[in-house]
Amino acid sequence: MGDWSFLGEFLEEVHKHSTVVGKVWLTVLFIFRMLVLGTAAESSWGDEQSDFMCDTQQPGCENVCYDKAFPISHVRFWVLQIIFVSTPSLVYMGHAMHTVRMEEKKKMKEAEIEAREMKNSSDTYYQQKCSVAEKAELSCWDESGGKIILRGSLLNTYVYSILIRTAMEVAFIVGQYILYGIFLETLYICQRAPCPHPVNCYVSRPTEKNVFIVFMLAVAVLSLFLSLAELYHLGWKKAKERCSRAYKSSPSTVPGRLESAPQVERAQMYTPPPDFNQCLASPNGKFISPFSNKVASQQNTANFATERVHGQEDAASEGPFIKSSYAESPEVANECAAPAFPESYFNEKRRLSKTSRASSKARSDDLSV
Amino acid sequence: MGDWSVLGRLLEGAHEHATAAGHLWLSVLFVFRILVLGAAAERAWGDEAAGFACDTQQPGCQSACYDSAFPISHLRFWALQIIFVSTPSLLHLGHVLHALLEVGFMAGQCALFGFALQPLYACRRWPCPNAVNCYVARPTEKTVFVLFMLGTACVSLLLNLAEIYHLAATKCRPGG
Repeated sequence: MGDWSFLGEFLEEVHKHSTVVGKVWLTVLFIFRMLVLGTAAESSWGDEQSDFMCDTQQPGCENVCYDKAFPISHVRFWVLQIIFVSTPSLVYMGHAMHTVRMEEKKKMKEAEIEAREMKNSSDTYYQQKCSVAEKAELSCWDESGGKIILRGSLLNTYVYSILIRTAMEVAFIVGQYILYGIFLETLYICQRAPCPHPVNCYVSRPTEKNVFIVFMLAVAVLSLFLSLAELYHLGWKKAKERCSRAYKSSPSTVPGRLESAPQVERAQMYTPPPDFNQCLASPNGKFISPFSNKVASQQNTANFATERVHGQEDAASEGPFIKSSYAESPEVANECAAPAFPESYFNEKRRLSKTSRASSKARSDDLSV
Repeated sequence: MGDWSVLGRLLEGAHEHATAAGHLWLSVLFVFRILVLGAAAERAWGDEAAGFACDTQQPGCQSACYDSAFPISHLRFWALQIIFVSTPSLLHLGHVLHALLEVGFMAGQCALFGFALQPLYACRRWPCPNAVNCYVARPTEKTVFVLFMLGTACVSLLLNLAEIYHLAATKCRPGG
């Protein structure tokens, strides 16, 4: 049945960084579509042309009648359907990986700049560099926690990918209906050159094929429903977050706590990436070693100030979405995160790196946290 | 359809430090070309020789006409295309060669097969005693895949050109 492993590996990666509904959709795709297609439908359609019998001796008449009855075989149609329906997720994944790569490059550059500037240390200089770093904090990649946070263009890509996927699903369902209707008839009456007259042609295994046709149609409708549910879920969550933000936003209390709390505590409480301090403390971090605690906490202060300014829109997009984070210190994660992340989105621990496409094992060039 | 995983592993290694366009090209290659070739096109072309029917009883005529209609099967042509088009990446021979090979194969496909398959092929080849009508198996389905593979080849070519442009722009930029 061809090598589905390429597509399978890509989609596995998408699976790890999807919402709950997205995961269900992917599972339905894998099990009910790809697997059924490969193991069952394929063999059912195996003899579709050789056993397509027409009551004619005219050479070529059977060929042309089969061609007219089945412009494209059901199985090939479903293969194309699976590929086209999966493609938007791959595009989203590509965007996410691209974002991650950009973030990694940016952080590398900033680390180099920091290391250089540390030699000519002055507080004001750190402040400037912190302001450079704070832009990175608004990115979609939370490196220390191993999270993809949907916001801005990445969120848009995700929503568009689901919309396109839905459109593709509808197009293929409608296309199948237009081409074949719902059920296959046993008898197909054919009139096409070189058949000298209308000819009776008999389809092989029509009942078995109908079972699979109905099954695949039902699974397509289920996938469509799941896509719509995911869209609704995303939209509803976003609206809910916006409403709760509108209620909760009281920035006056927060600066008070900021001023009174000691620096380290301050950093722990208000730094957006929960494991950032763990990251700083880690002896294994490749590019975090040039950081000092002073730099980190000043950076955190600047980050926090920025977060306050952009508080509402950040939280709205940050809150409910895709998380795959290390569970090493969940208590820190819960404390530090300014908006409350729903537990249901706390997914697997594997973080996305540029080479993670083919394997889920950690690689030596993954940034350690 | 053979084992494409070896090529897959080699290409992944070669493309580790590729640009975004390069990664996208690789994905297009794997998903839209290799997968479609193995999972779909191979089945559609499976009975192309057996299903090629000519209205003649002359022994050898049908074989000769099939050979004349399809000097090389589409499947084998596409397999060669994928292998050749991947080679520059593997040998780090440069994107220009890659683009030239892609264009070459697309031109070759158009010249050999055209854009669509007709159900009827009129054949005049020895040992057929007269002009003989031959009927191709599944011409419409095959046309769908011919156009699909041509489309993905175009997309691959565009991605390749985008990568060339990106690399050239990066190199020409001062300090880039």
